[in-house]
Amino acid sequence: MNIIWQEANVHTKIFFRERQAVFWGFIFPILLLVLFCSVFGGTPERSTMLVAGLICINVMSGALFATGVVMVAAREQGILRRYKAAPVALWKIITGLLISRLIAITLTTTLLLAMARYFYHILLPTNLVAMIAVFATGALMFCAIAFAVASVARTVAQANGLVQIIFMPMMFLSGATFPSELMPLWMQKVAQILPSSYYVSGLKSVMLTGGGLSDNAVNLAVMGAFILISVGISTRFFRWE
Amino acid sequence: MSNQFAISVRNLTKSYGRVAALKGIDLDVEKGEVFGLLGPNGAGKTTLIEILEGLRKADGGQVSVLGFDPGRELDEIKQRIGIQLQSSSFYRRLTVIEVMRQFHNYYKKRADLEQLLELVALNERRKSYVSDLSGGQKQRLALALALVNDPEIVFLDEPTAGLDAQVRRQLWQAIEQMKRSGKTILLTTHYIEEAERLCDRVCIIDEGLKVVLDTPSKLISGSRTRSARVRLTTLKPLLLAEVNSVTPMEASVNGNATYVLQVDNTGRAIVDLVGAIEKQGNELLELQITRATLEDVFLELTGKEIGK
Repeated sequence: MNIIWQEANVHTKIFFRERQAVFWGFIFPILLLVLFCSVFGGTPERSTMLVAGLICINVMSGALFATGVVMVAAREQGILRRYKAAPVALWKIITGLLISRLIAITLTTTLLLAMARYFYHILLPTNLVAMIAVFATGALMFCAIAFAVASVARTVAQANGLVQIIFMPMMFLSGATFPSELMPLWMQKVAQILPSSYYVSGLKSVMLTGGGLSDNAVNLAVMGAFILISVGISTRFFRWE
Repeated sequence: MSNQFAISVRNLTKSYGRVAALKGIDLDVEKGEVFGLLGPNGAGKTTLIEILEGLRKADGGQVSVLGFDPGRELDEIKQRIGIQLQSSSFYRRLTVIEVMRQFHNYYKKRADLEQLLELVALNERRKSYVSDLSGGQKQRLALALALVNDPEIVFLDEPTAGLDAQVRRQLWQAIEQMKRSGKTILLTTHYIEEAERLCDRVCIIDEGLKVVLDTPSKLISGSRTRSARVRLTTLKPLLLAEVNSVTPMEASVNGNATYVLQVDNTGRAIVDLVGAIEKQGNELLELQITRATLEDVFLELTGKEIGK
């Protein structure tokens, strides 16, 4: 447990000491919030919908770019190799990294919710347990996907490309930016295979309509399945060097 | 295998695809000695050392590190050895002391970090980010990490590669201090001077095979290039045909005359040379005698120049 805590601590430091990471992790989501809500907001309900999408975008980038790509970079630079030579279990390092990222993502989301509540009067989830369950499952899912990408990609360039390929459709098709109802039917069908669709749907449900755990059983189950698949890919393909 | 040696290797083989990197190596490293692995680039040094460290898996043969098998008891080995990789990189936004503490905590047995910082002369940079360190300082940090667990064996893969002479000497002193504290040290190097100064025994490997293994002085005295070299400058050109005890290797006449000679019996050669100079009415301006080095041995055995 000590080692896991140490790794979480170390990776939190590494994260917050990179200006770029802080910009993309904290400043950029706030800029997006102001942009989205002042242009498309209008009513608290519409702002709430936009914020649900923003939370998803923010979790995706925090996981895919700030965890997946960073991990590949550490491998490419030979940093991970030194840890392989030490008597420390891989799962402890990964768990520590995961905890540090979940903390960072949770902080941003809290900040986002607080600002959105204050400036745009969004609705707050009435079922807090459901909100936490949906939020955390989605965050875990994207971290797991990030590790899968990091395990499959051989270079930073490949990882970046791969992340872009999955990030872009998830950002635009899953209802995180545009409401899915506005899209043609075939596009809505495509969106159904994207993990982010279930996250956005879950967030909207708990934030907007007071959805509880049972209302989100399908969303939670599908996200759980994505987590299992990603963990499977990661353990099969992970490389230290 | 027995626990008598720090490291024991028998018939070790390793291939990368079709390329055989190690073709059956045998060697024993005694406890407490500094053991040098020498060889041209691509000889298999790093492959060998990384198999011992558990970073690579051997294809065949037996390996024992402190009596443990890297295949089955890697954690036992990792707890007891220290490793400096050929190139080390660290997260750039961690400080020296943070990286050291992180690795420190991975081990059951822990060295005193303050003493370590002093040993590698990084005390004043303890709070510097890794990204702000010079190449030499990073190398010293890597050395410190190899020692955080007060290891029984220290593996150093080209510890002074690319460092300037002054930093290299500092590192040599640190390695000598490690030896005095009873640690077994296995190092690979490109620098003959380093091997001669630090190593109790040297193993030269080439193309995946052991060429020779002995103390540096025995290697030098046992080689065909036992002869010394004499370099002398005289006022006028010298007729060397009269001197039987020397073999001229180089000559240059540019005002004064300078010769490089190979000699087998140094005393005899000097007497003959001085006699010839007097007889010919010449004058000796400069005389320098150098004995054969490990470099000559290396060249003789592998046909290659080290580091090239």
